Amino acid sequence: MEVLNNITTTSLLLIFLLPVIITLIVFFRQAVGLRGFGIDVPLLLSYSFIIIGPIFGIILLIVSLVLSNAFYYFFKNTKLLHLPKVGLIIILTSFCIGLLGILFPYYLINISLSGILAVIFILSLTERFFSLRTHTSFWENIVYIVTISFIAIISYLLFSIEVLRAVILTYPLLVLVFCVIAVLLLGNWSGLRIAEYYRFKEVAKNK
Amino acid sequence: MTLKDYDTILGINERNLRYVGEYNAPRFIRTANNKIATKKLLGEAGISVPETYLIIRRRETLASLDAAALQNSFVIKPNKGFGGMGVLIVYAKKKGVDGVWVKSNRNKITMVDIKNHIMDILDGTYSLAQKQDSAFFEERIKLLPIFKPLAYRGIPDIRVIVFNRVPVMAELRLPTKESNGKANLHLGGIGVGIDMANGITTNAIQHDQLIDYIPETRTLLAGFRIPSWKKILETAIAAQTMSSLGYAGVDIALDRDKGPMVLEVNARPGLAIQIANLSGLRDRLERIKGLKVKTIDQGVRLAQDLFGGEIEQELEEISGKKIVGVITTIMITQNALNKELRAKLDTGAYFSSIDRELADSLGLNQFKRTVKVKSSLGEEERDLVDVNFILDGRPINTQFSLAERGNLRFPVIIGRRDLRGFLVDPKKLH
Repeated sequence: MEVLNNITTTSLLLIFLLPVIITLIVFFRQAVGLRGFGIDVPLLLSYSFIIIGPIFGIILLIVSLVLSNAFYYFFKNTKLLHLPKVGLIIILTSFCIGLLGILFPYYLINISLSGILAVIFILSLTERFFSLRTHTSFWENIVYIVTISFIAIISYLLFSIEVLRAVILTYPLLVLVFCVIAVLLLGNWSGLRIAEYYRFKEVAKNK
Repeated sequence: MTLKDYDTILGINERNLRYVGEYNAPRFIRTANNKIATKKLLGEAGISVPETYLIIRRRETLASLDAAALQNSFVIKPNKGFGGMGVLIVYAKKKGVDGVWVKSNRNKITMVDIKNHIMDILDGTYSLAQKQDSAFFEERIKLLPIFKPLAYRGIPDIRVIVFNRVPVMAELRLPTKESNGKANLHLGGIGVGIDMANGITTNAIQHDQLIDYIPETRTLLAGFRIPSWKKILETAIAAQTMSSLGYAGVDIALDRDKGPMVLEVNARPGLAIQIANLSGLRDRLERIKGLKVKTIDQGVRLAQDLFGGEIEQELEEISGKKIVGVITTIMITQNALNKELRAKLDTGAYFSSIDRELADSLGLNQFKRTVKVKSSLGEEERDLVDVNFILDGRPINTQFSLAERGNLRFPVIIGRRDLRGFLVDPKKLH
């Protein structure tokens, strides 16, 4: 009973956390001016970090990116259509990650069924990386990965604040209303984003 | 630098809320994002666009595509691509070999490569959200020779932001080695600010940072005069009007033979143009809001008068001399007349002169002396009378010679003697 109770609490907490994380993502984009992401990817990465822990999450992200980039260069000049090529890269990367899991089973012990979903999500981020790749440069993609990881880490840190968890569980409606108001305000805010103060500094200087 | 200095700058939030959101209806944004539809719309309105050779919407059409059906030189574009992605520029057919072409980077490309590329376009590799797309072949724009030192293996284009039928800001976009011959800024292209009055380049940026020269060269980016400037502004206004977007970024390329051509119309033009011009868009847009601009001519004039002339001001500051056009208006202040007259500046003449009859009617008859004046007709004697007048804000006390100018277009000629402290720019319009 105790266990069941515990699981329900965590599930509730994770559900009620959703509006908080979304508000955070909207804030980083509209007010801070971080760019290049939607809601979906940082949201899923945030939950992935919360489920499997940020350290393991980041290690997994880095390893899969290094591997997939190596495969990308290997297949770069083969005449394959785009999607099959990316598919091949993800298959090989997953396979290698699986092998690493067998070699270092310690890391896999703590991964639950929901954790596997998080691992698969992180692996599938590889596709984003290469789809972006046809549009943007390598470094822009690195910036993208760092940005969404940063947001996911902040989400994880928020989740780990005891007081916030208590507030979310005790007053979920209040938190919801707060988030809706915050998103509405952000959606109507026409001021410069923080990053734009840096971006346009020469223009302001010249005035 | 204070927060107030940022008042003139347009940020992404404000652009989307106050301009794209308010002036660009979704159905017109959809048309603008559809290059084939936009070209058709503009072409039918008589606006010059690159000719479309062939449109491929389905895989079946692609399968039956024959090398013989293709031109020697063409560009393949994804219909709903953005930021120059998926654009393939094919320069020429390889001589003596069938089904092989040469790309802008001089690499060879075969029919199989072309089909693979189009297949990727159809699969949506280059469209937003990876939706299925169409591909089209279009005429390759030919480089204007004067752009050769500026553009690296590609065609520069001019982005003009037009709001409410007034061009508010413009930027010359140059392909570079880094951008692989494409003129898109986020691929590493160079953006160069333009003085709206005369089409002269001002400052330049690459990756949002100010630069003076084209990387790895000593080619200065400022001070370049873009040809057909007025025609470019007119084309931009016409394209914005036809697109039904209130706020649009019109991309125009200059073809060697055909002149300004609209490449595409952007419903959400980027904001880096403000850095290239070292000037804020917000301020300029506010000044245009609510104006009723009836004709294209009026739009061009507003743009040139409101958002130009900085270069000229700078020159005047450096030289301490005023820049005047050949034809100008002077004000005679002699005898407290305050009479405005059209005058022609003539650096071939020493003395200024005025029509005798006009001088009489104005009471300019304080005789000074007689001088000998040489002209193409020989030497003649003329009377000099005292005249005080104002040229471009500067009072000048001098003498005019009296001449028979009744049958000439300008009753007054201003000669060298009264042009000290001025620079004459034959292109400056009054």
